[in-house]
Amino acid sequence: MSYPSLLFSEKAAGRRIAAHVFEDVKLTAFFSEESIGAMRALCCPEDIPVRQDLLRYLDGDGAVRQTLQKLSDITVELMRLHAALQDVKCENERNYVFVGLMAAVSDFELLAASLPEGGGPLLQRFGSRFRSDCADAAHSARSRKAQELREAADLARKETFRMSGDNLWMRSDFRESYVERLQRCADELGLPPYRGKRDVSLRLDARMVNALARLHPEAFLSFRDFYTQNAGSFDDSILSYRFELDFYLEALKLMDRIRAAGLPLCWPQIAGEKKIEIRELYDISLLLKEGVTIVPNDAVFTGEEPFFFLTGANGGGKTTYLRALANAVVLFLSGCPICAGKAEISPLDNVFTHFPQDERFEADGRYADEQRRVGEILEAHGGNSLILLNETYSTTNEELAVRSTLELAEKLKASGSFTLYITHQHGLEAAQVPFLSVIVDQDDQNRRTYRIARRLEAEGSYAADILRRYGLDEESLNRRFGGNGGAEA
Amino acid sequence: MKFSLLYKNYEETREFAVDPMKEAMEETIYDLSVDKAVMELCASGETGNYTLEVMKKPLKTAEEIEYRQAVLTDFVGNPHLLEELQDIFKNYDTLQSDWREMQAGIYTYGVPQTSGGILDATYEALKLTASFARKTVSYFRTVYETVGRYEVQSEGLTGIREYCREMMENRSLDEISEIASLFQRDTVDAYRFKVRTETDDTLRIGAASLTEVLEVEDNSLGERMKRLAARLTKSAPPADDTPEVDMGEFHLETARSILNEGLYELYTVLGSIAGSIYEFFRGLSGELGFYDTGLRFVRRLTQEGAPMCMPKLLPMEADAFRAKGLYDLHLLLEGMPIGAIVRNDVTIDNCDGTLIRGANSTGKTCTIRSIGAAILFAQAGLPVCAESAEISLRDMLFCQFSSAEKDFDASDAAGRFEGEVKEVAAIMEKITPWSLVLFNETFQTTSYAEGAKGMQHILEALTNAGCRYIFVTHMPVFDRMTSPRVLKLDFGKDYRITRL
Repeated sequence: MSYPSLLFSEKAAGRRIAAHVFEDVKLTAFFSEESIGAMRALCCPEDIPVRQDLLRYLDGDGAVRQTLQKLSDITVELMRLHAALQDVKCENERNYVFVGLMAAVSDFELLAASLPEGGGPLLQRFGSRFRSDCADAAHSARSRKAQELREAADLARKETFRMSGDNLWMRSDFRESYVERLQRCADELGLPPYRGKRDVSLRLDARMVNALARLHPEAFLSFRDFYTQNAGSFDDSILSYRFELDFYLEALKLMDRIRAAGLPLCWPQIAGEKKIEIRELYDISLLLKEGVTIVPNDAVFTGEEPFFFLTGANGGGKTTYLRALANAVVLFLSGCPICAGKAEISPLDNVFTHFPQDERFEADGRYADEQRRVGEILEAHGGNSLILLNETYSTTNEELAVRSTLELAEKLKASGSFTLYITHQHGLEAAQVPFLSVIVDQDDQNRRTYRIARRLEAEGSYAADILRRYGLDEESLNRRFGGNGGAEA
Repeated sequence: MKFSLLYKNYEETREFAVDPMKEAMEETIYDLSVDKAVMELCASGETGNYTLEVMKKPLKTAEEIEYRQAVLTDFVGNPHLLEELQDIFKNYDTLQSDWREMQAGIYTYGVPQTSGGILDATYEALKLTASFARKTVSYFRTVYETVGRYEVQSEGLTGIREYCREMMENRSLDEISEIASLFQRDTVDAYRFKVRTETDDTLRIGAASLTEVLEVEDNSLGERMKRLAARLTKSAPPADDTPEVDMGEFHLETARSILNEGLYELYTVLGSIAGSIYEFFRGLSGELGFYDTGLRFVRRLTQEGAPMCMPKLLPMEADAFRAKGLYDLHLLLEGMPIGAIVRNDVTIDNCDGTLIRGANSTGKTCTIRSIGAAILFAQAGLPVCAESAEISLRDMLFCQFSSAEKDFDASDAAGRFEGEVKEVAAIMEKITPWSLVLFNETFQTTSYAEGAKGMQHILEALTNAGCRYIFVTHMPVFDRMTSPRVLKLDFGKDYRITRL
């Protein structure tokens, strides 16, 4: 784009994370479609610390953050007005909408120019560009004119239609409506206000727009002149700021949320050697559930041990662990902090997930669908990615599942990419891959601890085994209501 | 906003909130057989169910209870007023549902596809809504005139009369009625309109509001002569110099769409306001049903010659239940003559718990039921079955009656015990200070030793939680209880209580 990017110093790395990864690991709950659009385009490794610096700066400066929020709001308006301009039906309509669009561009430019110096190279370059634009006399005059004409356009936004039979008149007549009278009466009676708002969107046809122009001839002539003089000055690449700004703003919101939950935030160091080493890693998606105790775990992948199977009890936290790892790496690659105590991660090329997807398989059946998706990952991962497999091959018979898993493990182990593979399959020891397992406390009715630890071999799964307890024993009652006193026999 | 004859301080949130105690109160009502009694007294199952719903939410303040007691007293003195109000509010109850049904009828043949069809349907909906609004407003006068014909003393009934008078004199209510009266002609073609629109910055209309509605003039010769005479005698209206562009006849579709939006906005707002006004008296029909049950209860006891009283209400902290001549309503309704029913004087003053013991069939269950029912009736604002009573309000009333074998298989003792444990656990989850828990032979479905040990811990926990209990039991271990704060009552063969 001809406007300077807030995401890339020069250009993107040219690799994209698949959209379903964000759904699989629930990052869609924290980031909008626009932000995810920005996060999917991976940056060059050099840009990770640049983005980290910018986020740190924004995190520490509420005023600048607020300005970026306002800029983001303006980009929403810009997109709406730009879409309307593409769809006009007559010249008067085109001229009218163009005035609004250019006034919004002017709002954006003036606000962007007001940003203070600093914030790292990306923000510095962004602010400088708009300060330079606003210092230009011709640019500034156009901007002022657009703002002035927008006020004139606003005056033409309220009209009255008089209707009698099939005849129609348009007039400037603004008397109180029946609904306003009713609402006043309701207010006087202490009735609750009517909150419903019908989403009316009737488009004025070209003849009506022209009638409007006849009611406001001077204003519409000015709109025409402005369009004639400035039609070529709108650069639609400004619309890309919608994605870029939202990414930073939503990352900051996530940081606020993590801190509010009392969880740690850390800025991962960029590892010189190939590895993922995260201590006290939390799954941020658990922030979406109330009253959940979030248990931290460590995640360590190195060149020597790039592949782990993860097994254990249902409901023990396997998927949570996988999701936490995926979230951390995706956030790191986007330049965001992660929810952990400490981390060192090497810049990976990509993140791949393979989750059970009932809806996705086609006529060939689930196994064929799984194989196809595995094939896509094998083709794309390039030996420097994170691959997360969640119960892959769980939909076929055990013999085929184990064979397929062993074959897949063999390929991935040798590839250099880091892999975590959740499975309930038995007989995988032949893969000579280390196992992680969820820890259950067998001395406490198989209570889940949500801790993940290294095991020598796969552990068996547990069926639902929680005993019903009623809490009416002496100890429980004393704990709840206080001990001793009252009845004595 | 709603007027209530049941609640002095009516809170809408209370009516619609999920009541965490509902299940526990259902158990209580079942165990005390209050459901059977109410259903026998009521005119209909619907009224009975409503009355039970009211009783499931015991009132917690003397002020609220006395409000109900006074309304019931007025209806006992003026039974015809209750009948008249029931008729009025029975009709009122159907106003809103009729309106909704008629609106749904507009689309009997599907949603119209043309702009003209859509406009006609919207006008029809507005016309029905305007009619609903006019009828709703008219009830203030009807209710005022009806209550005004009787001598009433209660705050509830005098309040509704005064409230209606104020509403009748309210100018805003008149204006609403006046606007609703504009839409009585059969079709939209009978009017000329002005609709004010607001466009956004892309020239899309985002809002359309009706600002003027005029009926098209009747062009019969008589009407034209009248208008001519009027013009001759009046000065001409001032010329309208508002700038206006004549757009001719070629905008039918758009014009209809704009008009439709204006009418639709008015329809929704008028509907919302009429609905809010309707709320003032919504549910009064059901409330009157409760008083109908109360009136029938009083009449039945009077007819049987059975004593009853409006209890004196004591604060929770007074922690007392004192009744003279307390008897079991259940026995009366089963056909036992009042003379054959043993009436007991029961005094439970300021103690942590009460243990009731005695041989089988000596009246233990009848007494615990009478105590529970008296508290429940008192906190519903109804008279109680006693010659006189002073009753401390209870935050909640819980029951665990092992004799209620509704869910248990008698052959499965382990299952029965577990069922009891579940019920007690559910009660322990909900107890609050100054609640009362009634246990009837709880935990006797397992060995006495194990059951008694379990109950000891539970009774202790209830005391620690500031709750009170009454426990009917055969367990001998409780005979040896020595706490001065535990009252022990014994039943003899003559159904009489002895204080131990």
